[in-house]
Amino acid sequence: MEERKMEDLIIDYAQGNLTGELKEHVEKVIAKNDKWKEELDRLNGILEIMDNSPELQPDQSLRADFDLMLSGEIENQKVRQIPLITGSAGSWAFKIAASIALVLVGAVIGIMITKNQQNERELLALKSEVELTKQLVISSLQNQSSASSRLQGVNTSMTLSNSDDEIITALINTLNHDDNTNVRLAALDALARFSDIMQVKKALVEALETQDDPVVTISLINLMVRLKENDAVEPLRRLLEKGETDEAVKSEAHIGILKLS
Amino acid sequence: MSEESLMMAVKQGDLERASDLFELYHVPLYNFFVKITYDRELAHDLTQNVFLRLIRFRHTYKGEKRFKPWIYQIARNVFADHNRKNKVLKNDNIDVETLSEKIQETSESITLNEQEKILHLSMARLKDEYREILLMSKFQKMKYEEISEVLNTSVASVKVTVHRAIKKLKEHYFELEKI
Repeated sequence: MEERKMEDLIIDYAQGNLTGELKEHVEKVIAKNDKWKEELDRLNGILEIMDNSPELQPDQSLRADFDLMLSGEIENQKVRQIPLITGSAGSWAFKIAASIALVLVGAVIGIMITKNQQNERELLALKSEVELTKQLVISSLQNQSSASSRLQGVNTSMTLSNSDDEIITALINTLNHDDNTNVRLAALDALARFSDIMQVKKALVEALETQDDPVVTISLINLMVRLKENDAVEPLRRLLEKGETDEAVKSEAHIGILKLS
Repeated sequence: MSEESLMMAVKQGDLERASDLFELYHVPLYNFFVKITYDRELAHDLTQNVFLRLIRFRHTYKGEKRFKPWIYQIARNVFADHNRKNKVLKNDNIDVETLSEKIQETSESITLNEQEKILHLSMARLKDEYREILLMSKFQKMKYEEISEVLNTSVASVKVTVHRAIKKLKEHYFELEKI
């Protein structure tokens, strides 16, 4: 039997892939020839190392990061399930209602301030709390060494009810430059709340062509469709034309163009 | 509850069930990524991305498909996207000593013996297709049927590739053993 053929048969034999006469034949050849016996022993040694390779344990932060991501996704799901009037009219109705609610809250706060100084002190404390939260968010987003901390920063930004230029700039920067996909996705969710602000809208449309992770790009496309953002059509067309665009992204981009055109 | 039922529950909106799937798969996936990248921090991020995609793309899961091949398909996509994004240099451009240090670093408290080090160095020299199939079949102990579903190919083709991968691995191993 050719030497090369025997080498192949030994690999099959070592893996238990041979049966019947062929198996018996290979066993006989091995028994008669020390060279093949040694070859089999060495190969079995390699297979054994692979079989007994120790399992590494990830550190606890993997579980913590997963829990954080999962709770964020569950929150997002709840937000999406709130029954609003659908369509653009619904979205405008919601915005108008939200604006009225904000004005009312503002008015009530104003009345309270004039009523007594106790309330004024409380409001100042609230403002300082908001300022503290804002600083916390910005410093977390700048923490390059910890993705969990940046993710926490983005999630905390969602607790702030009003838009803030500094936070919006930091979130856009995170969406465009953070190394971690989860952090970029969280920044996208956070920015979606402020999509009626021109700076945010422009950044979201531009990000369509600069994001390199298909998950983020697809989430962006879905957001553009949800917002009925016609300015996204041209960037989507360019995505379709680019050879290196991921197939799943192309498919979503195609659907996006159809829905927005 | 089977893995498939858990995933169907996630698909239908019960996202908490993803936690059970994380419990079952985060260690094997983490090991898969460590052995393919030799970088524990990167393996951490890639594992996290697999579960993020599992949730975000839950609507693409078909109930009739086995869960394990499906999640490994996601893992392969996550790794391919990472490579595309970072234009990763192949390991054969790294010298033996540097790679040897990387391999020992990833093993942390576990002291690898000489044969184990040679095995990992030999693995690193394999082309991606071979390394990946050996990781699935030998280290992750996946059945040929499962691997064929992950790779979307026939069982016969998996057998042939595993055979070729072992042959190449053996060549590298015997060669490095002499150094």
